Amino acid sequence: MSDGLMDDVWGSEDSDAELKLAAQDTNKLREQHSKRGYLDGIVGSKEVNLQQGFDEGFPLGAELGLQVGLIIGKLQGLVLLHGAQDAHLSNNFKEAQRELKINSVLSKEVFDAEYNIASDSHPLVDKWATITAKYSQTYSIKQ
Amino acid sequence: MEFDELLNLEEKFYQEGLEEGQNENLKNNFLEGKQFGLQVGFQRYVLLGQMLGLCGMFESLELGNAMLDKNINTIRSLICTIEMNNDEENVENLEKVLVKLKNKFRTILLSVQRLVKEKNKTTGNEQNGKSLNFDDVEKLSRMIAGEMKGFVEDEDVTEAKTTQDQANDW
Repeated sequence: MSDGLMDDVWGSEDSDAELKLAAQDTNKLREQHSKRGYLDGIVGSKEVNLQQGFDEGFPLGAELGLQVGLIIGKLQGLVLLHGAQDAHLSNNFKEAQRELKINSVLSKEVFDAEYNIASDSHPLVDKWATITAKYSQTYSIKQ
Repeated sequence: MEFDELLNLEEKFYQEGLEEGQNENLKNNFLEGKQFGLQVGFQRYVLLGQMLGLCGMFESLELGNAMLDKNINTIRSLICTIEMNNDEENVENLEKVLVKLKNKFRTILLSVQRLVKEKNKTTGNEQNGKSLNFDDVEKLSRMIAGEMKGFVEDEDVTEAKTTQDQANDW
């Protein structure tokens, strides 16, 4: 804590002029004490809200995981059945495995500051759902 | 300024700061929890989706085996019992269902392999001799859902630590 400010406060009882804290001292006082409060506040309990956040993030993560799993499963099946004769399919499968990894799908760029998906749909999941649907059609796979 | 007045002012400023800090803290915790929730939700559902996707592929082979069709339907209805939230009972249910699902799915993979082989023998089709075992399936889902890099920010941890140190200094 600054000595100057304390001098003003404690050593100035006699003088009217000094009794009044200058506006700049008030600002200093505000800065000092609100900073102390802020620091006490920001290091408060970690538990509060962590669970609430988790519960809000979980369903979206689950939905994305399910979609990604579906795509990967379909492609894995398609490659098993037709991969030997279809190099494009095999390459796409490898590419999908890279692009649909958790750290790509949950990459910060896809989300806004509140961790909601910025656009209505997930670009990578959409991209691969479309590609997979195309192969399903080529090989007459229902659904 | 009177002494009491000054103390009140200090207290007032402290409260202002405290409120701001607490709000910031709540927001940070919420977002941190949300990131973690997204991650865990994703990780829990990849394998489920993958099994569903593969089941669809197997069905389309029209292998004409009632037992296989029944097992595939069991997989679907078991997955339907899982709700996409993190309530305690659902988490418990998921653990139980997952064991059943994995066993059922192993059976499905074995019968598909056997049936495809038989079908190829009768049609004289030499292709599609490849097979898929459960390890292949799990390995892929672990690879997709596996490590988490660059999402949970390291700088947040450092920042929190610095704030803590600063607070201790005060």
